Amino acid sequence: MWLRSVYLKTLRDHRVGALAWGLGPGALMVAVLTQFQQIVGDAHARAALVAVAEQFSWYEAPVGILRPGGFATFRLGPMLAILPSVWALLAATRTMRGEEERRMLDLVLAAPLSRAQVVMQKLAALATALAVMGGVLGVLVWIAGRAADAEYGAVEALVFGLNVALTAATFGAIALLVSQFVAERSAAAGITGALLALSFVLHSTARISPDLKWLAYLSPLYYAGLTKPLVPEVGISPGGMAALSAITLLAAGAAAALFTQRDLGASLHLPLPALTWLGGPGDHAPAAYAPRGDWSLRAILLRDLRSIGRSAVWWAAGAVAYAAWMTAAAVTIQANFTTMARGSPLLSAIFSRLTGVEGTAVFLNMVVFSFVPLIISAFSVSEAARWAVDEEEGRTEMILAAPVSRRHVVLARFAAIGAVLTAICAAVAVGVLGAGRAVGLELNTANLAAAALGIVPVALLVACLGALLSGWLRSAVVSSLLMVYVVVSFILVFIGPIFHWPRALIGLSIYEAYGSPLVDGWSWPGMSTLCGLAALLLAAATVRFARKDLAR
Amino acid sequence: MPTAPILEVQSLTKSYGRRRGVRDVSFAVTEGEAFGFLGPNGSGKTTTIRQVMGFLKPDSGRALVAGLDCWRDSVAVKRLVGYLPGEMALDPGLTGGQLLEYFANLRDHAAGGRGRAVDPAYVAQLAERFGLDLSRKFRQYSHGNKQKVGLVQAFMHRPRLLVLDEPTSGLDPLNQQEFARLVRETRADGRTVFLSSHILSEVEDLCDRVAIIREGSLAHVGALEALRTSPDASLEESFLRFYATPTAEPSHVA
Repeated sequence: MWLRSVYLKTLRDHRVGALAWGLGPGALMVAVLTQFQQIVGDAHARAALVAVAEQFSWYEAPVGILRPGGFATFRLGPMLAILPSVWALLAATRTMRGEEERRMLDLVLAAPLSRAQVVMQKLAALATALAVMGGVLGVLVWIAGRAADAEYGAVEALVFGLNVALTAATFGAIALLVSQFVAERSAAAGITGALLALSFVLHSTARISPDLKWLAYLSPLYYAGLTKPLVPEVGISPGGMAALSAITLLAAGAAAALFTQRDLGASLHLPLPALTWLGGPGDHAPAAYAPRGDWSLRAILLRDLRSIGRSAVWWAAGAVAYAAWMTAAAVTIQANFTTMARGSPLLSAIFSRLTGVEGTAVFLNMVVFSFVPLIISAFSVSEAARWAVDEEEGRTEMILAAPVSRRHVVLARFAAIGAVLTAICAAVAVGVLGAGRAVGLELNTANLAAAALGIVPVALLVACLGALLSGWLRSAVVSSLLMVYVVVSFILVFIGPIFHWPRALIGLSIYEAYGSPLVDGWSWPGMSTLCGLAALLLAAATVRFARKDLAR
Repeated sequence: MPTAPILEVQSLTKSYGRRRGVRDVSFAVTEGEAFGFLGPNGSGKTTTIRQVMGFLKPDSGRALVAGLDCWRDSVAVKRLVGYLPGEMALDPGLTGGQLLEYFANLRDHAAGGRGRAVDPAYVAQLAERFGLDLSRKFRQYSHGNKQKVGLVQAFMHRPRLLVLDEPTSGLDPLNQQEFARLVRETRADGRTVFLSSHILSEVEDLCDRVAIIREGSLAHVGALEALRTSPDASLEESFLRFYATPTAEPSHVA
């Protein structure tokens, strides 16, 4: 049944992802909704919640947060707009540029089907997968709402799911459009990921700076946020959903039109002179053999560095932009804390940790150094998936046909990803420091270095886990498992303490050992645990790779 | 006349769970000969070759190149071997020239202080012989041109043993002839060629002896001519009949 058409085959490729990305965020909504009453138990807790939420209006507008639907929307709305969008952009780039890169589309287009038919069937399959994801999410939100005695009904819950799916579809369509201009799937995914991060930054800037409100109109996340069906005060915004639909249709339509006109396997040229050093040689490579001494061809480590570098630039740009922006916004938000604290002894007690020099560290640790490790871990997941693909497609085999040991290949990969992760984290630290200096923030540079460099062992741990799994499980399964572990880890430390989840459970998160380095400085026990675990997994991955059959 | 075995496969067995791999495969290839490895699709040719290259660990038995164990001493073995896989997969973003430079660098590094393993002039000569334009990215090459990159890569360090899986797949007739000339030159140089192929005329033309594998077991080792069922029968007819008829024990013909 699944192999009857391009539509069904594409849907088959994404059926597990659609269900998983509906069930995962749905389970998260269930957790938040069912424990809502424990959080807003008495008047003091409610007052504190309202006051704190006001200061997080850059993240989400705090509307109706004393009711289950409003609280869940405030707590998880932006996250549910972003995480499924990451899946959608990865799925969209895989289904078009990825298949083109592997020449799979050649055979599909050899069948008596026009390019327009193929692309339309693929788009329809992606739309169906997203609708399934939104439907599953909506049903879970409705069931949890009933259990939490929420004020919304089945229609509102389903529209909530639909809005999440529509937001994801928008970034999926943008990814398809970007795919027309780059030759590699990873570059298309990286650029769209950076655009997603930029959308969040633009939307958040507009929320806290009335003079820059116009910036929000450039962000698809703004139009997604206009619809809040679980919050009766806001409800459904036909305009917001229409805007998202329009962006999606325009981007997908343009991508489809360009795909039908261009050479298969080729990309349309966009002048990006600053990045040509990342893309390998230009059009001036010699036809005859003449070694050019290119640094990246001298060793496996250097080759790996260059391969990772292409996508790392985009991941780094997203992480640095977010971190620098939040740092720059910290002054305004802290000023608000101080003003509010002056008028109320209760709020003064609540905000005492968030004002002053130490308060800056607490605040930045909360808004920068909880999200940036998640972004950089996602980068590690994408690299681990690439190792699995290299092995499946036979590229690893070609390297090992040269007189190099398997251990050398694994260790070179880790040295390369370790170096790139260190560079990204150093760039984040420089971005935070520079933005802080620009707005007059005092930051403890030793703690900042600890916070930034502490991300390296976290992300390396993810990469080591990926290396252990690659070649054993299929690349798609490796990336899905790792991404689920990373997201669950994040959720455990992000909302676990609020719901008083057991310490042992929260301890399973890779981010628990990372701690709060911007506040507490370098944590030797935590970092030693992470480094020890990473070393253990690296040793296991190396031994396993040295002894196993190469997958093909 | 060369006599020392450069490649010895001893009771090699590999299974993939319920799927068949290879069972108790044994043969030897003497230094300086061209040896053909034949068999229907899925018969175990690639599984055998991948064990020789150290990509798969034998369940039992072993493969030796110049007396070195292909699994345990794989790095030393690969110094002596040039390999062309049945399906080429290389970094699609690099040009043919860059790919060859990269593999040459890997071999030069592995040679350590013993000088360069790859002579750039010889690489240029090989590329020219196959009419290979090295300025294009790997993803832009046709199947035949990808195969040429693989062939140049396999021959460029003048290995003692060449392990070639379907070497002429995708090559035009002129380049097939060029490949045949290269194999003869290699043999004249005292080096060994082990090639897996479906093209009988090619094997007949280039190889002294053949091994035929069927359903994971060796069915014949020796001269291809020995398969001829009668003086009048064509080699192709005899060969097809041999493929179709199961045999309990492999026939060894010197």
